[in-house]
Amino acid sequence: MAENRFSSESQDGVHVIHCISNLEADHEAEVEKSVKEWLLNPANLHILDLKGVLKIHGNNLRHFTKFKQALKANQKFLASINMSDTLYNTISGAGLKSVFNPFKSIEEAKKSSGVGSAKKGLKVDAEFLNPFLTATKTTLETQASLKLNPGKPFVKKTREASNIDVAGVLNLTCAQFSGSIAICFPAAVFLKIYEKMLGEVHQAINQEVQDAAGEILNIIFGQAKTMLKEKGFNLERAIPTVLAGDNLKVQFSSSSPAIVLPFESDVGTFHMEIVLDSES
Amino acid sequence: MFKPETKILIVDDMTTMRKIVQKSLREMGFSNFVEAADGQKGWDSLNTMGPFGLVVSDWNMPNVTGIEFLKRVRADSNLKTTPFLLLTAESEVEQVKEAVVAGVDGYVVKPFTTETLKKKIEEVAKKRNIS
Repeated sequence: MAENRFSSESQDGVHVIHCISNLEADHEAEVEKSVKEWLLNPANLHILDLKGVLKIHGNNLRHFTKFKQALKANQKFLASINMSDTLYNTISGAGLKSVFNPFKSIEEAKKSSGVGSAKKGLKVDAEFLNPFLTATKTTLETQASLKLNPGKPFVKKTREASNIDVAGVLNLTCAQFSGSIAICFPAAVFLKIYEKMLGEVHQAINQEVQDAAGEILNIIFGQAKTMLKEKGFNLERAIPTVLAGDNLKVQFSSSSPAIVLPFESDVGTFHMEIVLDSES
Repeated sequence: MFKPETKILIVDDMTTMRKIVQKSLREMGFSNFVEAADGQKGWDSLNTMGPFGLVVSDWNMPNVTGIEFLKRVRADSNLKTTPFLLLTAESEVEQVKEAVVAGVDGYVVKPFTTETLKKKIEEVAKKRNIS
């Protein structure tokens, strides 16, 4: 008689699935059947407890990928806990880290997903935006000796930006969101900031100078990433790109409206735009 | 402290950060620099344009990252004692631990002032008994 390789329990919108052994190729039928049953569970967060599991055969990985996709389509989450280093290396090597979404504990997974914890219903806007405000201020005050006053964030009414000549853009990806962030400067302001950062005076934005928009955003992102991790948002690393041109229009592919963070400085005003697409 | 003529390798994929580092190092009195745009190019420079008295490298770079570059340096019998300072925009504990285990001499979090970089370089010199 076949051994049952899974046991599970549900509480407060969280479905914890305990996997009690390695999942070999000949366990595929049981995995496939179990995934179908798990999908009937109404929980918003499904957590795989992989304690003691060192191997999951590729055929079974496919079923977990389908499980994740089905949950995602219904705006639900999949996470895992107690993943061994051996299994972590296999999962990472197969490019499936985002499928299993490993965490150290159930509490950490709940906090990250916002399900079944005190974080449920949290105001993502302020939680998410404040680290970017703080990081922008710190970065430009330290690196360019700039005096900076953040203005009140607002939702952009149109999808076009005005009076922008250079922008650093970066993708934001974590369990709760995917999206983009851009830091946008008029040429005159950007060239002044560049001068304050490097002591070089330029009359126009060229290839060499525009690189700074990417680096400024890179430093801001790094700091914000560290702050956001403490709040349960585990952003993936990303490398910025730079857009430049007269009266540039920064337009995100998302249909969501951009949130604008305006900044006043002693060399003029600039702003940051953030678009958060959806829960991933 | 390192002598002003010390040859320093600056590795970062962003031109701006290489310039910021170079500007700070000039303010400290250094003038002998080689730049590289990623860990692979840094590795090539170490092997073809050395010896270098100090490496200042970014962490998050395409191709070969700063930590991978550091591990290569520490695994090479000729280069393993090269003083190595890592720059990073992140300051997560796990990352610091990884760098320490890999044998980094110092760790500077961006954004940084010239004073901060100078202090870190002085700590490296002291640790390595460089005077």
